Amino acid sequence: MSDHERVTPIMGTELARQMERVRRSGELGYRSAQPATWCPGCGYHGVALALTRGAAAAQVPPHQLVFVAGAGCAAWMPRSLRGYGIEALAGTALAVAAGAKLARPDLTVVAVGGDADILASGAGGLSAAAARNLPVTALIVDNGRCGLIHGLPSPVGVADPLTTALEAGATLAGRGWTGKPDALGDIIARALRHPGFAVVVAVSPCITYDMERLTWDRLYEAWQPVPAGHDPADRAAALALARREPFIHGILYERQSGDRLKV
Amino acid sequence: MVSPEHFVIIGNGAAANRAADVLRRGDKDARITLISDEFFHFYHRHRLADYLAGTAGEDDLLVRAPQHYQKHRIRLRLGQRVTRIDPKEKVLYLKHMEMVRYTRLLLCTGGKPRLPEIYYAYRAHFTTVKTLADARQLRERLDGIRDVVVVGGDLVSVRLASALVRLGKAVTFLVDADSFWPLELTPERRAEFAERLTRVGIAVRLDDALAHVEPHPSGGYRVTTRAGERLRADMVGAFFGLAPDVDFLLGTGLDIDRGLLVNEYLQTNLPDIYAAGDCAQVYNPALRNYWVSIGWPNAEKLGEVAARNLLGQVQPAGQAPASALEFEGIVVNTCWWRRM
Amino acid sequence: MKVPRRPLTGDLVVCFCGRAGDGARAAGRVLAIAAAGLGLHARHAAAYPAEIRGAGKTLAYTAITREPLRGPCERVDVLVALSDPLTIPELPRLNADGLVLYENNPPGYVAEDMAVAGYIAPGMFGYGIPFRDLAAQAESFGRGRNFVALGAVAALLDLPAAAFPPAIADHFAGQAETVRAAAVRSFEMGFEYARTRLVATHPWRALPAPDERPAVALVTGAAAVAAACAAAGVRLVAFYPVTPADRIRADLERLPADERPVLALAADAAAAAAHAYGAVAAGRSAVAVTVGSGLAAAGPLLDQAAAAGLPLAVVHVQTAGPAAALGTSTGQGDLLAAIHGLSDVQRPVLAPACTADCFDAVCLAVRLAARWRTPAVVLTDFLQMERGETIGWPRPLPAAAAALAAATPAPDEAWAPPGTPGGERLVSAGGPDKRSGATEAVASCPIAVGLHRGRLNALAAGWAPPEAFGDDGPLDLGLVAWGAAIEPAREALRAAAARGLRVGGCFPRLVWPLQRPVLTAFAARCRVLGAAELNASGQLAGLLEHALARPVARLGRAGAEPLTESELLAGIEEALPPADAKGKRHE
Repeated sequence: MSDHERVTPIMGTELARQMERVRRSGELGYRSAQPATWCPGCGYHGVALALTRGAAAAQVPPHQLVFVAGAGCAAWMPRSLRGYGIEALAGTALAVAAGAKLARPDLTVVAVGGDADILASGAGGLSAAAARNLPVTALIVDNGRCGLIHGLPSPVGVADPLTTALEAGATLAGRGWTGKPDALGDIIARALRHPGFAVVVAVSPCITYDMERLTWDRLYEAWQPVPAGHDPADRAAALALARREPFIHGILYERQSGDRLKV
Repeated sequence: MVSPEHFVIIGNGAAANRAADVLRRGDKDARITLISDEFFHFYHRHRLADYLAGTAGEDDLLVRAPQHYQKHRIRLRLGQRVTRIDPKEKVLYLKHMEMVRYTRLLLCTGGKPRLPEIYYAYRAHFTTVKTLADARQLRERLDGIRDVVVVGGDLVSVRLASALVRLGKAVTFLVDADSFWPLELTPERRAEFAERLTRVGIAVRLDDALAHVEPHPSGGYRVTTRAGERLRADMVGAFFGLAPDVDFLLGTGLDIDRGLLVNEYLQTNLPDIYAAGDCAQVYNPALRNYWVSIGWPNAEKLGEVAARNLLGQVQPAGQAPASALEFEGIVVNTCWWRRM
Repeated sequence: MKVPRRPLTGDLVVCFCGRAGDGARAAGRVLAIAAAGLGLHARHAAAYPAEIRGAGKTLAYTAITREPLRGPCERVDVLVALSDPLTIPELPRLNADGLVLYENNPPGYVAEDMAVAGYIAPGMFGYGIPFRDLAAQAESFGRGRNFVALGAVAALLDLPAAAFPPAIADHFAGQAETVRAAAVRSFEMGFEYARTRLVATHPWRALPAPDERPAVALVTGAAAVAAACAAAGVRLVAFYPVTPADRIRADLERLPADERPVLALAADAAAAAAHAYGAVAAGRSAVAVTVGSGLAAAGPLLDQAAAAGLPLAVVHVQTAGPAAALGTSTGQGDLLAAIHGLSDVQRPVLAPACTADCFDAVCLAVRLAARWRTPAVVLTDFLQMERGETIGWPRPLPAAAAALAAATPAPDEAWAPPGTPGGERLVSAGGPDKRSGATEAVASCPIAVGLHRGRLNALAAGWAPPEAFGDDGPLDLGLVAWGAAIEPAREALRAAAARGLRVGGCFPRLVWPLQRPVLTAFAARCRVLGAAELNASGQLAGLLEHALARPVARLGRAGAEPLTESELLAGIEEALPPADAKGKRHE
């Protein structure tokens, strides 16, 4: 059977259209060949997809991308993406990312970590990066769990990562969820282009250990876009919204004040 | 058990050191402090002339190793001047602004160079050698000294003049027979004294005295005697003996005549304050009069008596100790009764 | 009448002693700057408590000589009491004919035994100076007691007054003009007071400056580290703000902008290591500065860097004790911690002996890290960082560093830095990952550790032989010393040799990995082998015992106060085998 013959049966179908869209977007160039080790059905798959879409949309070539990951399920993220990857340790992803960015301002640096990593032992790194408005993107995958440690609850409980990031002083704060990878990818693309410290929270179900709180079913029901009329330049409004509505997705806050790299 | 006593002795001569040793033997735990404004360890004062002549070094002058005081836990405060005593509060005030509390105080301040009032006007021109510091200073200057005039006369001056002659200096001695110290020179003694000095090589002027001293325009001094003799000198030594060093005690309420007046137990008129050595005038109840003494053995004896009384024993100074001092072959009694 | 004043031979050591805030350190530093400006060699160091806490004692030592300083100075010639009660315990350090300057007009009488003047022994020279009154006359707040005292010291030592205003200006560079002017006025008051009242009777003075001025500058270890970072082309220096890392930062900030690395202020010591880790992973050379317990915090990332083959250089400042409260004193207790992390990997450790060494060690560490793809630790200590020393300056890059730079890493270990198209890879403790997007299995950790170990062995084999003391003959005692212990050890051996003892020394700057062939040969010549270091357990001694399979005498003690020549000399004599009747020593 020729390649053409194999492809032919799906020509004209929805699947074929999607494949063509993917091919044109260039996002395949951001996927590594390593099979992901996340559980089947895990939200991380969608987050990885959103990352590739965001990077492609932001038009950052893979060799300019640096993915830094700490511990836990997020540690696999650099392996499943194409780009320069740095394995860090629990709690150090943002600090390592900061060092990479400080030494190489020409690179686009993304730190990926779970809520139990970046908000807990990595909290100092979050504050420090926010304090100097360092142009790196922190992608916090919030599943409220330590998925690799038998699903222990996150040490920071149900603290809202976005509120924490806003209070620390992030100049871009967006929230998306893994069930809408396109929307999440758009937020990530904005973050990658942001000239200051950007925090993107990706809410993601842990299908193995969380049967109650952040489940696919609940999230599909609860999820809404940022209400029309919200002013992303209004930090107080963004904080209020982030606190009040845990399942709002979109850019809640963005300050394009021209703050550049501060050391 | 810790003794509450803090014996403070002002002075670092023979009386003071003997007293400190006796106090330590008598009280193992008491604090004992020696305070002296002289900045040297206990030394042989009578050997200063040897030091000047270069036949003795500073170490040779030391009476004992400084470790003695550490071993016996005697705190030495040297080069420190007591400016005031508050006998009510029992506090000594030191010049460098430190307070020292005592429970019992012994004054062994010794003497300081005496200068007859008629010579006060010239005191800036005179050289005296009472302490090692004086001797040190003089030794530094020796090379520039050729002619020396010595006025007055006392035990120290004779030794010193001899030493200077040995160093090749031309020494003229104006012997002040009226104020020779510590004894009066009888006519026979004067002749013997003059002869001995002459034999050493000193030019003696027996019946002359200093009339005037002024700095010489070309350096040194111009000395005029009463007889009208004019002498050039690079150094004018004034030696009129010692006067008790008690000026700083004026105003404390202590009875002071020439020295500190103490009873036969060496107690002053103020409680817990005693005196011994050259600075003390000791009452003799039998004679109903005071006596003074000079010289090392006498000072040691009085220091010991004072210490015993400080320790609570009751020991009178007794008869004036009979002792003698030798200088240049002449032996004089160093203890004598003095009309007050 | 002026007494002829004899110049002191050898070192002249001045110690300013006071409470934190009395300005002892400033006075000591200005004296050193002024002496260096006169063409003399100078060294200054201080021991002091945490600065803000304030109540503790500060001792600032300044040594002035005509010849380059050889070792630490134990004895003090001039003791300046800015606080009487704190100075009294220092009097035993004073030379027999030493000079003590003290306040002679305190606000009131002081209690018994609380005045320095009460302890001055015969032979010493005690001069009371109204520091407070003179300082108040110099400026309204009267804070310049330290500079009044400095003025008196300068007058008594016959140092020209003109050398000091520029030194004061140098010290207060960047601060308000009024501060500098007040300090200069205070200095002049003290100088004039001593010149008119005290100098005439004082018998000794400092050596006059030589006619020919040496080409030296007063440099602290911290400044040497900063300059070395620039010289070695370091792109990023990361540190957590703690003394004396702040000194290194301050010195880095003084560098010209085009030479200056990026300074990354980290949230903690682990973050400092993380910043440097990120920078090296991004393909740039980086240094993390850690102090005291910070090395432990940075440890996990150092281990990760070792396994991942990342050239992360750490400048670690050893302090005494684990606690921050003891942070501002010196020690050598971190050797084992510097070598061994928590995992099975080890780190090469370079330990400088002096300020010039600090420069060299940082250059070498950065270059060897790049050459051998390993983290490297420069093990300095608090004293070295704070101590200022006149050395030839600017200092060229050591030849060995240039040689390391010329030697490229083995081809299979070379990897493209981020930003290189097609070179995408993963920096992982799983070992070098040669994939470029292919499905290649991740290298295992044992492979990474094994590779790293091999790199260290190759590194040790190619390293220049260590400094040696003494001849090549058999020795009754051989002493191995590292870091700050080298200077006192060298002087102690010199003194021991002068007493006719057969002693020798081996002073490696590369402390780990051990240069086994050299050490084995040295040990074979020694009846007794000893190790000098400022720690109580004998950390190098233990490593040597293990490597050489023979006992090693421990010549050391717990940190805080630096090791001295005299205590090491005593240790040498104690460790020597007893002599028989023919004078031969046996074990």
